[in-house]
Amino acid sequence: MEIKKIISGNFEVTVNIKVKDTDNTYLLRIKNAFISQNFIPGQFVMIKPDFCCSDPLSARPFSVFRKFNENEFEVLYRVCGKGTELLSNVKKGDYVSVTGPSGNGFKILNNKKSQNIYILIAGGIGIAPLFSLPDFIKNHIIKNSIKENEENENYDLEENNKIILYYGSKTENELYFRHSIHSSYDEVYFATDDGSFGYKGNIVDLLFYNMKDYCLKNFELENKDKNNEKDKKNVFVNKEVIKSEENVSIKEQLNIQFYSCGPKPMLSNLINKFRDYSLDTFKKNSLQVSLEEHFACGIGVCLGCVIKINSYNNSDNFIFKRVCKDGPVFEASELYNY
Amino acid sequence: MIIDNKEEINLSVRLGNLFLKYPVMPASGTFGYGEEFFEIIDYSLFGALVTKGISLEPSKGNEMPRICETPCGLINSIGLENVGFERFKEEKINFLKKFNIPIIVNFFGKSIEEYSIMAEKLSDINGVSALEANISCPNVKEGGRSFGADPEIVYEIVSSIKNCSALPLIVKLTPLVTDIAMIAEVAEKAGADIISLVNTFPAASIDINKRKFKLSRGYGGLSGPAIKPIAIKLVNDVYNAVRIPIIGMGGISSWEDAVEFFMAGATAVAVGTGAFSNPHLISQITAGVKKFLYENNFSNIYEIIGIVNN
Ligand SMILES: Cc1cc2nc3c(=O)[nH]c(=O)nc-3n(C[C@H](O)[C@H](O)[C@H](O)COP(=O)(O)OP(=O)(O)OC[C@H]3O[C@@H](n4cnc5c(N)ncnc54)[C@H](O)[C@@H]3O)c2cc1C
Ligand SMILES: Cc1cc2nc3c(=O)[nH]c(=O)nc-3n(C[C@H](O)[C@H](O)[C@H](O)COP(=O)(O)O)c2cc1C
Ligand code: FES
Repeated sequence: MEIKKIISGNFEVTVNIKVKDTDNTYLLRIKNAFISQNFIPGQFVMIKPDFCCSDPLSARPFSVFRKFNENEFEVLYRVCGKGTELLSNVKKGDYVSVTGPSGNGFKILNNKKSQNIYILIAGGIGIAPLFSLPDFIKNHIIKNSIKENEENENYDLEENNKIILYYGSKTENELYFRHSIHSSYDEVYFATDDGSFGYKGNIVDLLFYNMKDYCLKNFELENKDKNNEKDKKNVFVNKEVIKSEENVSIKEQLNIQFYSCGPKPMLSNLINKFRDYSLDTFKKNSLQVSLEEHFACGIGVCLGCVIKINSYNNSDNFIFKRVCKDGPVFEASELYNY
Repeated sequence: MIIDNKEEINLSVRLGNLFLKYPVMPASGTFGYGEEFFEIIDYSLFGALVTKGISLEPSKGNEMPRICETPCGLINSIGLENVGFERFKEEKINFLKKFNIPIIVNFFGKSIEEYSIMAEKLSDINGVSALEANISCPNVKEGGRSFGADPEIVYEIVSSIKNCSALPLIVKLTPLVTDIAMIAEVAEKAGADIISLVNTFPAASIDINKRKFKLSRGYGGLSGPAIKPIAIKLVNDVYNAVRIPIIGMGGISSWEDAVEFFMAGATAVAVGTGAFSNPHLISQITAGVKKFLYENNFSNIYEIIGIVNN
């Protein structure tokens, strides 16, 4: 039988160490070739340190952080309660129960005819599901262009695909791997609430401050004053600009995909700004977010982890979907009142 | 009798007219409509397939948060979210029929009439092997008190269901009543073929920093290992009060737990919360019980059912 997923298998922990400079964040490495070789960024695993333990009762969900090698994958986690505390006490050589990879993961949409920009927006530990995305994007592009290369020989991969990271947190120590993370990206921007590293303020504001450069640079709008908040907003909400035919054709040459994971306030801020600026109407798939809820089963049967999704054929305008089974990655435009 | 082969141990049970090859099944609401688990495990050691509780109209269920953990337990207030009768019939039942394993459809109503309407409609669906009436839900007309808490209403619901359905009827009792044995006797008198218990216990948990209940509805139903000792006692109370068979459940998370339920008087067991963190649990219980019987020189499961009272 072809394995699609590991179901409560016991696997050896090869590393479980506190990440340097942090108080409560750990890197866990688990020996399992199937997950290491087959996960899609954004997918998660359910981990239970002690198989028989009833307190805490349920396994806990964690994003697959990255493939360490063909036989081992890693999880980056923050201790914030009983389950993660227990996990942090697991020693090298111990076994943990693992189910996964589960959920849908991020979708890569790249358009060969246009320039592609991938913008990742992470908040703190929200870097975990995004961390492997640059490699995944690159592999995806390479695979796709091998398939289609007869068609389009002079397509320059490097030139036409840019991966950019916006990474924010409360303070410097929660910007994990801030000194080494650049190598995977074409550009990296940091922000901290306390200003201890990068831009002082919130990462969503920083992104929107720069947004003009990504979304509108080809729209040939007259140079608006960057510091004028009101003008800036007008540029984005000006539906006429967006709808005019000339601009639509230009837009199609620029394919921008946004991917995000972070604390709920950050995500709602991001999603609402997208909506305010009508960015969500640009392209259907412009913003994918990885969401968190408390899970019990993690396989889609208990209905404990639902979120509201827009629906236009019932009176409440929403339906419930399961984060664990229908997500955890959702299109921002699907989310109802997030 | 001396058994020299583990394979000869007979685990099959008869619950009224419902024949089960193995006495272990999923608990309603923890198995969806069978689709999700099928992607990950094999059903060959399942005695029956049990659906999420179905009502006449689809139900969206409660607002989030719907679940929270407590020591060794899980409180849920899913709000009986379900696809409703029509979609169940059109989209869900065919999948369950593929396995040639008895299908138990759990259902509930908002009124006594709705219970019998549902029973009638479900009996018309080809492939349903038995009905399980969940009488733990609130009776809105009577101020939200559970249907299952009032013996007269229990009698009325059960007898009206029996009037319009020939399928074996499992009545799933509310555990939080003063005298569960009495309620079980009433259900038996009214024509119930099988009793199942326990459903979840009303429970709540508070976030002291937010000074609020953790669940959107305030309270929910407690399941998991925390309720097991109470469930064992209730199963035994009912065992001593009625002659019809019992499906026991509540906090089963190992084959040893299941054996306790059999010894307390259950003829079959159901597994809910325990399968969340260990999807292999049902198959492991079937195998573990078989091994236990073999090692203790029993030849079939009936030899241990209610053994504590022998
Ligand atoms: C799909 C998915 C992927 C995840 N990936 C990661 C990851 O890669 N790294 C990581 O560190 N964490 C991740 N999480 C969050 C992680 O699952 C929780 O931190 C963990 O379950 C907490 O368990 P605990 O027993 O330590 O805390 P608990 O004792 O259960 O809770 C402690 C506190 O944390 C809050 N909390 C618990 N779980 C969540 C949650 N899911 N969302 C919001 N608040 C919560 C509780 O309300 C409580 O205040 C992920 C969650 C999901 C759903
Ligand atoms: C998430 C969840 C949903 C449930 N939904 C139903 C339901 O729809 N109908 C029902 O009769 N019981 C329902 N139950 C109760 C279970 O079937 C079972 O009686 C109870 O959980 C005790 O068993 P356990 O401790 O093994 O989970 C539900 C339980 C849980 C945890
Ligand atoms: S956690 Fe059970 S359905 Fe998602």
